[in-house]
Amino acid sequence: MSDNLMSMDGLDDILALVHEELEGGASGDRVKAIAEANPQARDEIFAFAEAWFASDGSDLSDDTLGIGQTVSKHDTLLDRFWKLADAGSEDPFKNADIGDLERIAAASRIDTSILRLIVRRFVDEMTIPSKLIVLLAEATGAHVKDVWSFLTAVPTVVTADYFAPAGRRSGSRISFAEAIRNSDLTPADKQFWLAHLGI
Amino acid sequence: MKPLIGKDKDGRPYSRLREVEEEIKAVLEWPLPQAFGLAAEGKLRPQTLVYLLRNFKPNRPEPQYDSLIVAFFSRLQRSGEPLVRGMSELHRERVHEAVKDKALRLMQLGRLDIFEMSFKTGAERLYLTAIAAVRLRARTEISREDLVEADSEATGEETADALGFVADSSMPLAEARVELKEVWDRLTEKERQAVFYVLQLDITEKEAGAKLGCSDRNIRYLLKSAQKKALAIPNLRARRARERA
Repeated sequence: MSDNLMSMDGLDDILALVHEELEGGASGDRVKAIAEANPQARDEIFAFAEAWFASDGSDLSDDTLGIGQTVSKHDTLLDRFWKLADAGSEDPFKNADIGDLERIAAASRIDTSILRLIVRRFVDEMTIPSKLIVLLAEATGAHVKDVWSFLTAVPTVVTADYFAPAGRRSGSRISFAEAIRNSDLTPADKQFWLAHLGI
Repeated sequence: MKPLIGKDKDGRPYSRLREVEEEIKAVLEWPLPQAFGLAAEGKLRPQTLVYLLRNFKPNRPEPQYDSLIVAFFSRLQRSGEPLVRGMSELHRERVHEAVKDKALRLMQLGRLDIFEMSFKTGAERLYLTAIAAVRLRARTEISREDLVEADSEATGEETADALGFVADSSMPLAEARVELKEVWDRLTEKERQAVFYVLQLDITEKEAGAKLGCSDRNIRYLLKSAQKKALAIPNLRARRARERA
């Protein structure tokens, strides 16, 4: 058992330590020692240990699949999730010049014309294989979540749309399969991606 | 696949189980709607659900992604049900809401790593934290009417004698918990708290009383009651008799 009894700042970190210690066979003396090292969280540490001691834990192991009954008040939960959600994320393609785009496209087994459509968000992101999202993340050095967040942002609208007589157009987005079929990729690469789409 | 960032008490980064990594790799070969659909239906491991939730959050509300959020919280609530069993309905509701608040906050901060390592551990940690917080807020003076044997008292030592094999604060609490299981189910929440603080943590009856919002005298009543229930268990009586012999 480790001796990491140093004072910790965050209550979450302290209780995580207590939890790990308890699961690892800590005694009451050990819990007291952690509480003495973190007097600002003494009550919370004891209350956490008490709750742990009084419980056998969850009966739902990670090997048991299933979701169970739908969580209560899920509509409110979704509203709160999206209100809290951080809309800002790094643009993984920011400052990418033509050379970069060619390199990213080649590393991702597509061509630059498809990549341009994707970067301009003209491709419906839900039709893009997750494999390609991962490859784009690797090629740009970004996190998968940042690539995905970027691709799901509002599609780029050309300036002229704001002044068009019909007003701003949302623009129809094409499917990834359509982009692949209309591309100049080799038959093997086309087949590779269509197979990922189950086509 | 990027490694997890969170670390355990010894400074080792959290890691996904090999079978979880393999499932995630397989899932990434499928079209996303299919992956989202299976995860939302609970047909993938809960850690894979969390991976998809963390890595494929769109920039705007999206029904298929919403189904992942609902699946995550549904599984979380189901995981916590056994931990809140025995609490009053009001307290159960408060705990569930506190867990939702905390999980939403952790999502916002990108700190769901523990759930990718073990959903069960992550869920238990959130629930235990929330239960502790709700109990700390709710502690009030125990009325004498709620207690038994008002005219008798027991010292911690006497109760420890009844539960002798667990009255050792250097004993791993996990072991003590197993040993006490037979007695535990018969104790009230307050009796359990008194036994835990006085016998397992070895803090004074006065300090235990402060934690439960009652006097040290009331703590002794609770211990006496726990002692009586422990001695009423045939197996325990036989075991104690063997020990004395």
